Amino acid sequence: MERMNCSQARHTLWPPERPRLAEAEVLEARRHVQGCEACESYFEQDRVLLDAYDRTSQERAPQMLRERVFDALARERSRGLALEPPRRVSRRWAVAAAAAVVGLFAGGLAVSLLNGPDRGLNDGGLFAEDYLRRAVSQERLVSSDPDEIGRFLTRELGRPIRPLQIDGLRCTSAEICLIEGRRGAMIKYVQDGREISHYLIPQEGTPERDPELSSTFSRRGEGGPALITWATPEIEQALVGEVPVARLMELARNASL
Amino acid sequence: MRETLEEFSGRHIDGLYHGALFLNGGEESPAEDLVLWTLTGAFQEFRQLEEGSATERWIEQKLVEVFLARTVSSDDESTDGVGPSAEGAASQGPPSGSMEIDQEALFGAAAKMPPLARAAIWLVVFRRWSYGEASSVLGTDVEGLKDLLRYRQGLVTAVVRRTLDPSGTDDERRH
Repeated sequence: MERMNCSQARHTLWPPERPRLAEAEVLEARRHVQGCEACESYFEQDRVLLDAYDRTSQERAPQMLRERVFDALARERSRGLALEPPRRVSRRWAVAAAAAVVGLFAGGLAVSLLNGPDRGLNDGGLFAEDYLRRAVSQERLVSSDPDEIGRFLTRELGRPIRPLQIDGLRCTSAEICLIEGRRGAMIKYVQDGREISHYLIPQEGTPERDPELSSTFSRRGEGGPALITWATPEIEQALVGEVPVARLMELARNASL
Repeated sequence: MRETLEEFSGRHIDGLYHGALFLNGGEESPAEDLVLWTLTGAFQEFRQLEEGSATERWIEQKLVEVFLARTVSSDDESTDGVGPSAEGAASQGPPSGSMEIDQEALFGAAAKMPPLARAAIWLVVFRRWSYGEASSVLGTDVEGLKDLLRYRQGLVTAVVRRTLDPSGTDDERRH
């Protein structure tokens, strides 16, 4: 067998940390590297470079970038809806959406007239996209009706979500939130004039976990908001509000029943 | 239930951002744009991927493809400061013992390399792609890839030089 050169040896042993069968080619490459200063240095340099790169990887991507990405993906998703069969929408939402289209059309017509014929709204896709986005997707609902909030969240998240129904706790609104790329619900309540927010983030495989006070806020001492986190099967949950920790914990325990 | 692209992005965005930083020579704004274009451009294809596909490799490939597509080809000539070196030549090895590599120098030195060489080094050295897979993504053969990887020696030299002599000017760090 012809002696292996540096290039062949490096190619054969790349990446060096990968386990490989001790075949003749591998053994020959290893023999070459052991007797070759340049190749030994090559693999040592590789380790140094990888180490330097890995150290920079500990920094997280900026929050602004995350938001831009998730906003862009939401836009892509709404575009995709236009290609899928329409979903049944309630009469109320259809009316609201139609009103939005009329409003947009009026506004768009005004813009079109101001900008000349080239900027007209002949592209019906623009209306269709906006109609679909508004008709089948909603990000916020202001209501004190737990049933209405439940229906809204169930429709948006595709699984049954119910607001807490505890004496003295009144729901005021619900929103769709996005945490680390996961769509979830944030339900707002008022109790004794103080606002409490309840997060529910569906996550497959989440095991049940008892409520506990999060260190995120407890480190800040008394006077700030308290945060309790726990999990029911498949759902991460959190309660946050400027109420006594004991009260928040009691609510979390009731919520996890 | 299958992972959504939003969930997938949430898991991989940090790694992609750091890859984008290296590819863009440490420049944050184009790195952010690159990640954004990569993930939004992947939207349709992601839905068609079969469950169990090597999605991490797939999105890394997308990152490199978008980077190369958006990089002006004339950049290939801007190799001042960090050039390829003969693969078989005895190299300036890293200093012995533990040393703190200047990470800004790593990105700064990358900025002085041709985009295709940066992409090759990112895939092979940092993401541990095999020569065959990487050359396929870069549209070259294995020998062409080896030529590109010769810039790695210059990268090490620049990083080590910068680390040993931290009094270099900012101009040396970034182009």
